[in-house]
Formats: sequence, structure tokens, C-alpha cells
Amino acid sequence: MSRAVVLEKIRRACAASATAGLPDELPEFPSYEDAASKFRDELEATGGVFFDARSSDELPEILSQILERTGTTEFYWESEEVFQKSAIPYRLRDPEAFSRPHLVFSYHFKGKVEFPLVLNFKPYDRATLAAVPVSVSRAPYGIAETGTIVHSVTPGTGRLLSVLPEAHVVLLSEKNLLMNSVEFLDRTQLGELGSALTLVTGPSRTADIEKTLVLGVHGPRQWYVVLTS
Amino acid sequence: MKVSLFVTCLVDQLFPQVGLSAVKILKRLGVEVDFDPAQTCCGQPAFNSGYVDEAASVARSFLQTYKDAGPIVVPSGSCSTMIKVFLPGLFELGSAERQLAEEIGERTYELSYFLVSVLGKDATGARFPEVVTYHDSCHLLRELGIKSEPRQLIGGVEGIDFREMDNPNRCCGFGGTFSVKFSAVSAAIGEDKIDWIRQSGAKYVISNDVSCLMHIDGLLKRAQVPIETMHLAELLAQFDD
Amino acid sequence: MIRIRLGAASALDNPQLQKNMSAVIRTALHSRDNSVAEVANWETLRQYAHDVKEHTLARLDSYLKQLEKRVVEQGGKVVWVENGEEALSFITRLAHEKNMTKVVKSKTMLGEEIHLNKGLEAAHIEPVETDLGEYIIQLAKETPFHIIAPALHKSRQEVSDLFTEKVNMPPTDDVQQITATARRILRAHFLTARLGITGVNFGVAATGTLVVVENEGNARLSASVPEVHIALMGIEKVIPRAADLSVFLKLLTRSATGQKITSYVNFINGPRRPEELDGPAEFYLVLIDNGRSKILADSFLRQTLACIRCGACLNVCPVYQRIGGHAYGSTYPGPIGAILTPQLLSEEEAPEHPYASSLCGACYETCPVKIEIPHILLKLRERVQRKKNDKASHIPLEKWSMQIWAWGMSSSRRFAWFARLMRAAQGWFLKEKGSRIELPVLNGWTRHRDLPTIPKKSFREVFKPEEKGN
Repeated sequence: MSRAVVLEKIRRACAASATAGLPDELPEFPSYEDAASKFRDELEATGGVFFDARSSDELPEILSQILERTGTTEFYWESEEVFQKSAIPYRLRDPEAFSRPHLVFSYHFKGKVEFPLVLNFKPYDRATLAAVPVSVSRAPYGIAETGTIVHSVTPGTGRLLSVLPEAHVVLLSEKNLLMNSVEFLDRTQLGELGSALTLVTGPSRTADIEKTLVLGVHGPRQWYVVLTS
Repeated sequence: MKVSLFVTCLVDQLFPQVGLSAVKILKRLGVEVDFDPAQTCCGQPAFNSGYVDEAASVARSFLQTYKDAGPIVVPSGSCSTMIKVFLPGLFELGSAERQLAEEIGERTYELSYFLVSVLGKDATGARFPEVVTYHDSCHLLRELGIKSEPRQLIGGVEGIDFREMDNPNRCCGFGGTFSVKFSAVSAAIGEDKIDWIRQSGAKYVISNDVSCLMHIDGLLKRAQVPIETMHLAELLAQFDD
Repeated sequence: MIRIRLGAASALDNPQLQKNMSAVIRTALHSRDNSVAEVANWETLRQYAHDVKEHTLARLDSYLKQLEKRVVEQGGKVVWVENGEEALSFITRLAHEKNMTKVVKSKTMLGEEIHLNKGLEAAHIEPVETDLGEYIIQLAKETPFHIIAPALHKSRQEVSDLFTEKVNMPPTDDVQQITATARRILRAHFLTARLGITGVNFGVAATGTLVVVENEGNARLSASVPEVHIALMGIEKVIPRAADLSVFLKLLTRSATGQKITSYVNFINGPRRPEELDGPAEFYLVLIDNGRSKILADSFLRQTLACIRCGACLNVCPVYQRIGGHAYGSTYPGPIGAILTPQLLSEEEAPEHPYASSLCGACYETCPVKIEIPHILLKLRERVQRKKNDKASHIPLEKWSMQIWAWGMSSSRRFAWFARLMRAAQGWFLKEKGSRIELPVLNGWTRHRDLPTIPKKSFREVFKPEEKGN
């Protein structure tokens, strides 16, 4: 292999350099009094949809709205943990549900809303994932400056459920909404949030033809972020 | 106050009225002007094409001519740039020539900068009741950072109607030897500049560099467009007497 | 030898191309300018990034070694190659070993630089471009027209015609429909691909993270669906710390597309981990030199390698705006192409590149990492000229003219004599003002412009000492 050759060429090329030090103070990045509003404005500017579920028990209502908008009847949750953490009260129709490999059960909310939720489904393969209409994940962080959420791969989750489906919903806790990317990189050891981490801002897009914007090329065309408390 | 005029080879040979205007302005503002006939060129044409040794030999004469002069005033953005920015680099680091070049560079001033920032004047007493526009020549703007001074001076001309064109800071396409090495591209870039000049409604286009003006004028004349080019010095020397 | 002048002539003579380019570039410039105007400390960011790059390039070997260590710690493999042939050989060997006959690729200019697709095809491996712009030019069998927007030169009608011809799409002028067609076709490839190749925007040494910036999602997929992910990275793309990414990303996306951030910024930290449900089982980082270490050796020219491939210099360059990307005849066009190409190749292979510029400096003004492009162009002109004129086989006519010129110009007596000669000659060959003159150099001028008239007397002949004032 050419490792030794390339390294030697580089070493010799750099040998006579007087080096300037690395700048030690990062330039200023913006902060916001109302981070949630900034986040919402930026997200909406990219074509993403924002829901505020901080104040009351609105989450299930919001989720059913999203189901309507996407024209489907099921949510695919990234993991059981995500679902449990969202603390949505549920009632299992099927008492054996959690022990089955493909978990589908109904959710009731005040007798008004009912929709199936899918967790831990199998087979976890590309074709199945591509056919999923709406998936849900929880973001460890959000970034207000640009309306961005962080998608990380945690144990028991994967990369593809948030990118192959047509629509994706992200649950973001206000506690984890950061001002800017500096704050994010400051508190994160890249590499400890899984093998692949993605900063996602709005729907997939392209402007490759005549600089005309088209949404939904390879990633989700519909992008929802729900801010929880 | 006394200054040395470095009139530049192009002005000397092709546009003497620009040099005469510069002298007129300075005299009017109470500045004594010395013209050393030993001057020739700053070496830019060779330097621009990569002929550094040849540029250095011309630059040496420049250094000799001005080594004992006081402030030097130059009615050209590109020549001022050559003197202030590139001349020192033609000579070896640590050499006496390099040091001399740096010292001379510090007392070299492009004309509009000299009038506004050294003499503190934003008008020369000129009168020119016409519609004019202004083209920022690239070296003047980007190497020397001179943008507001010419505009202030134009604004100070009595009766003037100054209209900014679209994209005044876009290159005219001259670029030295680029104008002949890539003549079609140079002309095409210039065509855009001509369009913006026309759209401004001006009858005169002003600039600080006869190289740009020569190129713009050549295009205007070829297209038979009745707009005149004028160096800033010529405008500022439009005295009623 | 690449002859830009020929490409330029055909570009200038193509009104459809001029029309397509002009609207798109104007939009691109507006987006970029608007998004930069929002950032109060833009100049501080530029200087910061410039300083980080300057420092990093001067200690490139140690940062690359650190990057390698971290990538390996996370289960990835690092392959060092001197050039494109070695990279290609590694990739084809791997693909053959694993019986892989198809590659899904996201946009990588480095891949273009090493002619990866051609090499893959020769080895019977099908490369599938998944970025829409790259897919379009792949169908058209062309090279990228722009660093960021490969198909910038094509109108929607031209793209539709291309799709109709190549993939049987019913003709349409609806960009959404064209995109939907590409998505459908490429999705089918994604669902079966076993090998994915991406580029790398930044490689973070401290954490072993490869950053890939995109809008479509195809890079994310190319890196995640297949069993094997190969990331191609130029050795100059390493940066020391994760924290610096904030600055680089802010500079890159605003400069490239006028976006505050792209839809996706992917951070790859190796192959899938045991508890993860998907992702490639194997991850390879291929570090490619291909002439970069040669550029590193010159401490002034080295800043050429600071480039983050934003493409902003192309958009703002009056030359690129008129002649477009193909005229440069090189992978990288525009101002960055003009300085990178002769250094990656040689002065003999790319002698016109440093001269294809009016030295206006707009590129330097816009460059997010403050590469002194105009000054580098001047340095490269010097190198081209020296190389050319030192060759025994070459008759240095231009050099002789310059020497005569310099000799004439270094004495006011000779200068005045030359001036008199010029005045005398004017009457002789200049029959009427503005006529086309068939003498070398002058004909270049008069093909498009009238000549100035030479006044009877020069300034020095007219200026009277009494006019000194006082």
C-alpha cells in the first residue's frame, strides 16, 4: 500500500513550514430569546411543518393531524424506547402485543382518536422500509439557528427508517433545543451518538434543473417536527 | 506641498489630457507638481504576463527615478497597485531594492485617494452639468480598497447628475494581456458592461483607469454608441476658466 | 495540452447556453449574497477558516494520521493511494472479490477528477449516479459543468428531451415530474445496491468523523443502504477539531447555494455498530493524493488546497459567466480550476489556465476561505512562462518581445525613441481608425474594438515646467 509513500511526500512538503497556531476562539454564533420561535420560522422556511406540543396534552391530537395530512393510518416508531419516552398513554387491545415480533396495536385517546402504532417491526429490510408511509423518531437535539434536528442511531435503531419513507415525524423536547451548531458540537462527542449522525433541516430537496426547487428527491418530502416539553 | 507625478506610460503616450488634467487639479488645490522626465513605466504589462525578470528591470528604473522624491501621485488604479502591492515582491526578501520599493510604495497615492484622504478635499471646483456614471476598476477597488473617494469627488462636481450603473464593480473585461489573449471573452465581458452603461442613462462613463476606458471606449465606438468615456481627472478638471 | 480558447469560442457562439447560464447564475449570486448579508461576522468567519486551513495544511501528515487512528478505532479501514489508478484498482479489486457489479454514487468531484466512472465501467462495474445533476450528465455522457450544479447548463426542455431519449419518460416541462422520474429509477437502484461510494467534505481528525453535505438524501442513502461504503477523500480535506465544523458549514452552505444549512449534513463514524439495525458492515476511507502533496510543497501556493469546493468563485467570475465550465477542459473550472489544474497536472498540460482571467479579484472577495486566487494566478503565469521559455525546442518570441520592451522601458531616452517610432508607424499601417489590423496582438484587439488614436504629442512633450504651479 502507498501509505508510506504518501505520508513521506506530505511530511517532506510540510517540513520547512513555519506553522501558525490554530485559532483558539470560535467566532460568535447567534443566540435567541425565543429559541422555539426561531426554530419554527427556520423550519417552515425550508418547507418543514412545525407543531407546538409543549403546553398541554396535545401530542396525540397532533399525531392524528399528521396522519390525516399524510393520508395514512399508521405510524412506524423508530424504537420501542422512543414510543415509551413520548409517554403517550395507550391501551393494548392485544395483551400479547409486546412479545410479538411485529407489534401493531391501537391507541385510544379520550375515546376520540384511534390509530395503530407499529413498533419493532420486521423484517427490517430496505423494501419494507421504503414502503413505510410515515415514521417517527426522537431527536437528541435541535438547533434553533437553522431549524435543524439531530438524527442519531442509537442501540436498537437504524439509519434508514428516517430517510426512506415519504414522511417523517421528529419529536424534539424543548429542553434539548440548542441555539446554534456550536452548542451542539460542544456537548457532543461525535462518534458516541452512533455510527451515523445526520443534521436534518426540512424535506429533501434539489434545484439541479434551472435552479427550480423541487422537494422530496431521495429523502422524505414531508417533514414534521413536534416540539414537546 | 509638493508631489511627484507618475503619469504612467499609457497616459503619457495615449491620453496626455489625463495627465494635464491631473496637474491642473493639483495646481488649483495649491499643490506643486513635479514631473521627472526620467519616468517610463511601472513594469505591469510584463508582470501581468508572468515575465517577472523583465518587470523587475523596468521596476528598477522606477525605483531609481523616485528614490529621492516625496509623495508620488498616480492617475491610475492599476499602476498604483503595481507600485504599492507587487513591486516589492519583484525583489529578494531582505534586499535594499525591496526595502526601497516598500518605502516608495508607502508614499505612492492614487489620485482620487490623494485628493480625498490626503488633501481632505471632496470637490475640486469643477463644473460639469451632464449625466455621468462610474465604473470601479478592479485593482483600484479590490487591491487598494478605493471605492467611496471617486464617488465623493464626482458628487462634488457642480451641476453633475451622477447615476450608478448596475454592477459598477463588475470587471470590464480588459485584464491587460487578457484583452488580446482571450479577446473574444474580453469583448463579451465588455458587452455586458456596455449594456449596463447604456441602461444607466449616462452620457459619460467615468473611471480611474485609462486601460479600462480604452477597452470600454473601443467597444462603444465599434458599436457606434454615442456615450463618451472620461477619466476622473478630466472630469475634475472641468473648470470654467 | 488543454486549449481553453477553443472551448471558449464555442461557448460564446452558443446563444442557448448563454441564455441558460445567465439566468441560473444570476439567481445563484442573489441567493448567496442575501444569505451572506445576514451574517454580521462573515469576515471573521472567513479569516478563522483561512487560519484553520493554513495551520492544518502545514501539519497535514500528523492530522491525517490522527484521522486514520480514529477511523480505525471505530471499525473503519483506511486506504492511502497516490493517484486515481491506485484508487480505482482498490475499488475494483474489492468489488470483484465480493461479486459486486453495481455502485451507487453520490456526488464526488474527486471521483470526477480521477475519472472513476470510466474506470469502473472498464472493469464491468456499473456506476449509478444518484445526485440528480450528476445523473443528468451521466445520461448525457458529459462532464460536470459546475462544481455544485453539474447540469447548470441544461434547460428543463433539454433535460426532458434527454430523459425521453434515454429512459422513455413522456416529454414534459414540469421539473417536478422529471425529478420524480429520476427518483423512481434511482430508488430501485438503492434498494438493491451492495456498494456505495461517496465523497467527503470534511474529515475531522479529532473524532474520526467524515462529513458529507447534501440536499437530496442520496449521499445518506449511498452511505447507509449498501453492505460496503467507500468514502473518497482528498488528503487536503482534513480539519483538526469538530468545533471548527460550525464555521466551515456556515461558510460552505451559504457560499455554495445561499442556504443557511443544507437539508442533510451527514456525519459518518465508521461502519454499523453491533446494536444498530442497519448500515454498512464495512467502511473504507480512501485517502487520495493525486498531486496534492506536490502543491503542498510550496508554502504560498499551498493555500490552493484550502478550497472547500463551494463553487462561489465560479458564479462571480466574469470569465466563467461567459464561457461556462466545459470550456476549461478540466474537472475543475472557473477561478479555482484555473489555479488547481496547472498544479495538479503541469504547466505544459494546462498553460492557458492561469491566463484565462482578467485578474479582477472578485473570486478572492467571495472565497469563504480567502484563497488569494489572483496572486496565485500571477505566480502560475510566471511558472508557465519560465517553463515554456526554458525549453530548447521553443522559440521564445514572446520572451524576446518582453525583453525588448523591458529594455526600451528602462530608460526614458529609449522610451521616448520607441514612442516616436510608434507615432511614425501609426500613419503607415493605420489607414483608418478602427480598421481590422492583421498584425499579431493588434488583431486580437481590433477584432472586437476600435483602437484609440495616438495623439500627436505625448504628455511629456506637452507638459511645460511652468505648469508646475508657483
